[in-house]
Amino acid sequence: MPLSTESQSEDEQYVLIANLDNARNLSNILKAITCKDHAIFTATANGLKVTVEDCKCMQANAFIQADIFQEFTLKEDSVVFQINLTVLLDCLNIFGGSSVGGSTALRMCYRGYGHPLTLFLEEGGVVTVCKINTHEPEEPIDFEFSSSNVTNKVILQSESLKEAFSELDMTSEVLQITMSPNQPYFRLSTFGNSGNAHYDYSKDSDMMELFQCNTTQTNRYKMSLLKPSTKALAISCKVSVRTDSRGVLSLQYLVRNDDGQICFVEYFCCPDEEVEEE
Amino acid sequence: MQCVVTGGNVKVLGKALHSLSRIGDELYVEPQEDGLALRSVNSSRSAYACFLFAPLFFSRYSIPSGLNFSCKMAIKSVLTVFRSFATLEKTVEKCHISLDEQKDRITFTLHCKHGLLKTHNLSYQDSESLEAVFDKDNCANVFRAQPRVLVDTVVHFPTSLEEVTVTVSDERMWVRNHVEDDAERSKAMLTELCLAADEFDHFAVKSHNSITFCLKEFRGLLLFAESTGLPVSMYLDEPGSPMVLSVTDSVLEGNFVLATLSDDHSLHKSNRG
Repeated sequence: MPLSTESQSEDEQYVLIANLDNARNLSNILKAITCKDHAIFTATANGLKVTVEDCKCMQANAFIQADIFQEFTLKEDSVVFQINLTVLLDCLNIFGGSSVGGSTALRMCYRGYGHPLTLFLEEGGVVTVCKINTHEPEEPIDFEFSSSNVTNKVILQSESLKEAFSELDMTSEVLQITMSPNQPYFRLSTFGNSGNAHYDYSKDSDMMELFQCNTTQTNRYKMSLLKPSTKALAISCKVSVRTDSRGVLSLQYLVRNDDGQICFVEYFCCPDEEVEEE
Repeated sequence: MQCVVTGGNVKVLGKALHSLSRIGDELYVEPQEDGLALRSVNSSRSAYACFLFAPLFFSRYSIPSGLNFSCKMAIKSVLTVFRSFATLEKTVEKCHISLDEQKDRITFTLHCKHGLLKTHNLSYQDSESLEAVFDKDNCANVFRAQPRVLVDTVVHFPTSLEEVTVTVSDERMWVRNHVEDDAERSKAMLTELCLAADEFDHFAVKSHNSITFCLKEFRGLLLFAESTGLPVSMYLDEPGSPMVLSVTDSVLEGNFVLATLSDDHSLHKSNRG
């Protein structure tokens, strides 16, 4: 394979080398978090974390574990750079990105601070080399979301949420999420031009894999901030919805890739405003 | 008012609302003794549609006796309740419709599989009852066909086409795209289909004439007829007088009344202004 014929000496210049037999396993999950152009890439021994932020109120993270890659070599403890995600996705799909006619193999190399990210893409014996300039990484927001502060948590099969999200009244500025140990248990509400709508999920539903709600919590989140998360929802099989004592929302999507491996996408979103509890 | 729709009838109700949305922007709701009437009219008042769902259509239909209520609401907002037919068919088990006159709203509650409950509270405006006067019994030409026959006919016309002309003789019906008189003939494309009388379940012609009407609303009715498999009756009279399309079965009735182009050229011009 042409990608493996790189000379040993050239390889040594790179602080990060990641190989994938199927570039779609990366591009699909990155597509799910594209809401802004700029993404922060953080590589550690665990794998790759890609972060996108919007309005300092929302953050999307995609986690691609090291073992998803056929090769994942890291010379430093952690490597951080910022890159234009749209450009990266265009490059990953340079061969059309369709699943028919074989997959695109990817070799991703980074030489270190100030250097471009180099992509070697190969399909059917044709190799394309893409160099994408990297930027000074911004410090991602720390939402200080810790599991010890989680007040309510539900895990749902994505199927049932996909339906709700596809039907949500987009004339509503906010999505209100109610989680409660009592009825309505888990409720999504919208307040649109023509009225309001509530979607109630029973805690005993077979779509509900886990229901851990201790206190009644009602929070509103900007629809415009949550809308991008539907892309992750679409490719996921399970979703965990958590809120902490401050009302910060965490949505964790479990995504199964083409090869049946599991990746995660996580969204954090700040609540819109205080809602008086009824 | 309390109505409960179950099983496949939820989809029928949804389809009716979708075809009404092809007519106008507003849905007129009127619970009556003889059933729930859903109506719509277009902005130029040249097309009107009405569905009447008999009490037997519902698994429960109760209205307070002497209720004289009529309202209108944005049809778009009602469509959000019945947006996806795939979901309606696969997951909705029961639809509950109730009226809250204190809060000026109608609540649609969908009971879905896996214990999911969808509640839509939609606000309405009080309105006069909407009723079109039409007389289909005295129409010269009456036809009835399976929806498939008509769907296969209109499929040949582009969606951008506004009007079709139906010409009838004793044993044939021709359907062709209507070309404006002032259109340049050399650039116009004409599509014409001929249907023989034996393709229809009923074919009674008293007057040989050509009727021109809007395709959009016709397609709207076909959408409903095709999904329910109900035959479509067409009542055509003279050019310029309204035509009626109707579908009926034991528990529902749908009537679409469409204006037709008048033969009188000057009148037709001023009408369109």
